[in-house]
Formats: sequence, C-alpha cells, structure tokens
Amino acid sequence: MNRTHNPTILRVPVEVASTIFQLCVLPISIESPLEDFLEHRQGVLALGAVCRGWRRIALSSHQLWTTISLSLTSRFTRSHAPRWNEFLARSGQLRLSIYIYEVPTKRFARSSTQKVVHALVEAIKVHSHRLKNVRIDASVQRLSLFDKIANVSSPLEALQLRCPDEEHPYQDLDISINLNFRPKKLILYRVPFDLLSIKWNGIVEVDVTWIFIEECSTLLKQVPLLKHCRFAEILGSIVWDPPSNALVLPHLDYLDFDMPTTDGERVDPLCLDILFNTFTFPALQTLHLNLARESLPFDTLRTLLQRSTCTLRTLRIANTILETEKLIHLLQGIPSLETLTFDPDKHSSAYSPKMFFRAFSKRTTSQDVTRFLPNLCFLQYRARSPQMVPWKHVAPIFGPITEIRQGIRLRPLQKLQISLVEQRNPSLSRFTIDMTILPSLLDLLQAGIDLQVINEETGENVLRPRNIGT
Amino acid sequence: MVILITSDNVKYVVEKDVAELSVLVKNMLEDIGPSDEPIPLHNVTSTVFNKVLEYCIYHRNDPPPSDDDEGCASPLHKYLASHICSEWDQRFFDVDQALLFDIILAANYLDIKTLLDDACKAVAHLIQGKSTEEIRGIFNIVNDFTPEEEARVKKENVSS
Repeated sequence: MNRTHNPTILRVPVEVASTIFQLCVLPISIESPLEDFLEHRQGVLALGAVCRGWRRIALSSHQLWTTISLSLTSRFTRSHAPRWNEFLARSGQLRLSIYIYEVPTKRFARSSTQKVVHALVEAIKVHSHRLKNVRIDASVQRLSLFDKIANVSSPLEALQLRCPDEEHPYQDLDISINLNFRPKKLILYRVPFDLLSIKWNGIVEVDVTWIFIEECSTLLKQVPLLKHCRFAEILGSIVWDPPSNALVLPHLDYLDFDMPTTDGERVDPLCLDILFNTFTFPALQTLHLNLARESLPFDTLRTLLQRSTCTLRTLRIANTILETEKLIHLLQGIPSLETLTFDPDKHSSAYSPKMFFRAFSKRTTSQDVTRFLPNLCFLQYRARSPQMVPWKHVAPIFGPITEIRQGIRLRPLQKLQISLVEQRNPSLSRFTIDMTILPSLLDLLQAGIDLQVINEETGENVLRPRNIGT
Repeated sequence: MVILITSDNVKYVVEKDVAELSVLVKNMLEDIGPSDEPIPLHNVTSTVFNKVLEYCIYHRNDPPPSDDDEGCASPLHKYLASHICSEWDQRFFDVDQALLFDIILAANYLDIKTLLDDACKAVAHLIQGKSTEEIRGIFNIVNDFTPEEEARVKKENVSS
C-alpha cells in the first residue's frame, strides 16, 4: 500500500494534477528528432507507472496521450498488438499525432513486420477521423504496407514520411505508397516521389528532400493552394516539355531550391530554366536559391519575376556561379527587395565584388527614381576571405557620411552584415581590414548603422570585439 | 484597501489592485459593492496566504495573462507560450513540497491563474526527466500496484 495513502499530488484537483503531468513531458512536434519522441514517451509512461493514484490521473489526462510514438521493431509493438487500441483510445476524442518508426539497426523478417504493420494499420484506422499529424520513418517497402491507414481523404495538419539514407535504388520495386491522407503540410525525406499517392489538393506547405527536378514540376502542378515550398537535394537531368502557358500558383509566397545532393549528383542547369518557365508565382515574397555551383539562370529568373508581377521582398542566392552585370540587371528589376543575402560561388570568374558594391552607390538623376534596390533594409554578403570584400566600396553604399549624420539615406538600408566564411584564422580582427578604410566603417557605426563584419569561425563581430566593448 | 481573513482568523489589509489578482476576491468585491466587510478566505491558512500575498505584490504590475486561442488551448502550448520563470520566481517556489502544493491549492481556490501556472511548472520541474523510481523517491510514494498491475505497467514501459 501507499506509505502516505495520499501522495501529495493527489491533494490537488484532478484537472490541476493533469496540467502538471502535461507540463512534465517534453513538448514535441512532427519535426522533432527521434530522441525527443522517445523522451516524450518515456516521460508519459513513467508518470503512469508511479502508483495507482498517479496512473488514474495519467489515464484520465487525454491530452497526455495525443502523441503516440511506436517503434515497429520494439518488443512492445510486436507483442502487444491488441493493446494498441487501448493506447490510442486514451486520447479520448482529441486529435491525435502518431509517429511510427523503424530502428534501422533492428531488422526483422518482412513477413513478421508485415503482420505487425497490418495490425497497427487496423488499430489506427479506427481513429483516422481524428488524426492530426502522422509521421512514418521506415523503408520504402514498409511504407507501402500502410496503404489502408486512412479512410477516404482523412484531413491532416501534417504528414511526414522519411526513408533511410542508405536505401537505393527504387527502380526495381514493384510497389506503391498509397496513403489516403489529405495533409496541409507535407514533409518527405528520401521518399521516392513517383511511388507516392496522397490527396495533394489541400497542401499549403511542402518540404521535400531528394526529388528529381521534373517531379518538382509534377508536384507543383498538383498543389493549387501551396504557400510555402522547399525542395532540397534536387536530382536529375531529364528535360521535359514546358507547357505553352505557364501555370499559375496563386498563393505561393516562399520558394526554396537547395540543389546540392549528399552524393554530389549534379542537376542539368537547363532543368531549372524549364522549371522557372513552367510556372508563375504572383504572390512570391521570398526566394532562396542554392544552385550547387551552377550558373544562375538570370534571364529565366528575370522573366519569371516579370511574368509573376510579384512583390519579392527577400532573395538569397548561395553557392551559385554569378556574372556581375547580369546580377545587377536582375536586381534592378526587383525594386521591392528588402532583404538580400548573397553568397557567390568562389568559381564565379565573371563576378566582380567591386562592381557589385559600386552599383549601390551610383547616383542617377536628381529624382533618383531608378536608384538600385531603393527599398533594401538588410544586406548580407558572404565572402571567403577579407580580400574578397571590396572594403573601399562598403561605406559608400550608405551614401556620404555627412548626409547619413543628417538622416539622409540613399535607401532604408539599416543593416549590412559581411560574413567571412571558411575563415580559418580565428585571430581575424578589425586590423585585417585596410587601415585607410577602417575609419569610414567606424564612422558608420557611430552614425547608428548596424554594420557587422562577422568571422563565421568564431561568430565574432570584428568591428565590435568583445574585449573592447562598444 | 480590502480586508481579507484567512481560515486561521488572521486579518490582512491588502491594496485593492493586489487583492483583485484573485478572481475569487474580485468577484466577491463586485458582488458586495463598496463595503468595509472583511472577506473570508475559508480554504487558505495565513502561512500559505503570506506566500500568496508575496507573489501578488511582486507581480501586481505584470500584464494580465492573455486568453488562449481556441486552437492553442493545450497546456503544452501554454507551456511553450508562457514566460520563463524569473530568478525571483525560482527562489519563491524553492519551498518544501507540502507548502508548494498548498500554494497550488490556494491559487486554485483564489483563482490566481499566473500563480497556479507558475506553481504547476515548479512541480513539473521536479518531475521532468525523472524515472518512475526517482519520482517515487522525490514524492515519498510507495508503489501500490498489485503484482498483476505491476507486470502490465512494466510491459507497457518496455522501450524499443
């Protein structure tokens, strides 16, 4: 029997005790790492294992059971199939997040796992109407076993499917991953897109890692409500015929193309041209491009932005071969730009930092209506070394110091961050900067401009070293 | 000023804005109207009320807690959205368990939401990341499961 017969926590009302229990467990989301799910589950189960009183509170706290994680290879999952229903029912009628994963090191016979998955699918199907988030981390073959997990078009907040890194190739697999979900958010990691079938039309956010470039196009054509899109590790060189009229994605406001692949596979630059020619994004506000040392398709991108008549506010170009003149020409066509992050590839032989920086300080007519990037508020420039920064042309970006002190600005630019990457010399200091230039930079700081020169190796702003203070 | 009397008959004269951090007291003041009548706090002793008062005086100028969105009503969301307890709060809740639970009971009775939330967090902090055995040790609880129940619970807790 309980030594106190009345553990302290049982003195408080059940709803308060329930709140305490919920505060005890680690908050997690569908994107949390596996370890967090394990910690969350262990936390919940530990509360229900203390004593009868605590277990009563734990079992009556429906919220506590709204996130269920199950390992396909755990002894519990494999030996207690009839109890999953009880487990799933503990969340009452609240919406349920389910995370199913396969520990890669534990391999069981396919037939044995097939039975487990089928039993699990049957148990989950009963609750499919109240599913909120579903995440399955498993091999392609296992994923295909979940094909009856949802009833017709079950709406989901988020669906995440992750396949292990080492699993290739899929070409010989005669399977499909047929999930009847209608998610708002879709996250795919190394899932063969051509095998996947879900309800696409409700998706507003996608984050796909490892996808062939023509599949990007196929996906985008199926998601008319899409607002936020990230493609990473884009593969392939298959060229397809773009439609005669570009397709409109009316709601897309965030687009991120992150080309580099872990296995170094390259993308045919023409593919991106074709992709940009296939679509129109009238709501686009943020564009991130990392083209893995390919050339920026200036003309196509410029045409895309012109055709879209969008108000692009943020542009990040990284790891991309650039030509200064074309870049300036492109940026002149985006006067709405407020944030520019810029990381030219070191192999950009036709790129001149000096010419790029000078574009900011060029004065035009007295009306100055064609000023370069007139709405820019934040510029981040990343360089491989201090020598790659045209220091002499940094201060003029802001205009004459006398005018800055009087509050006259060429543009609302308030922050300029120059980040020195691959900077192996941790002793980099303000003295690395040309001493004839340094005073003009310090003048900007004094005038209230947020000018930073960051050594990315140490994270230190060399213009305001910690041991000097302000 | 408002006169409050605890269950052990100790009288407190408290500034109105401090007293009204308790929704219970606020409602009672609205019900009785302008009056010098003392308000009895039947379920709170002076020992506990001293702590409650200390908290209310310190937090009297805090912005009122915002109403939860319907979609974010879960305590987990509240937990994420809430402020991190200050050093003062951490010292305030560094009391023995019995008093900590008395504060929770008082906050719940007096309907002082921020105190209740912060006190619940303080208890949760004692439990977070602990094993079942450690929790039993912290709260001096003896396992009262029958062997059959114990076996069932253990099976459930088998991890991957």
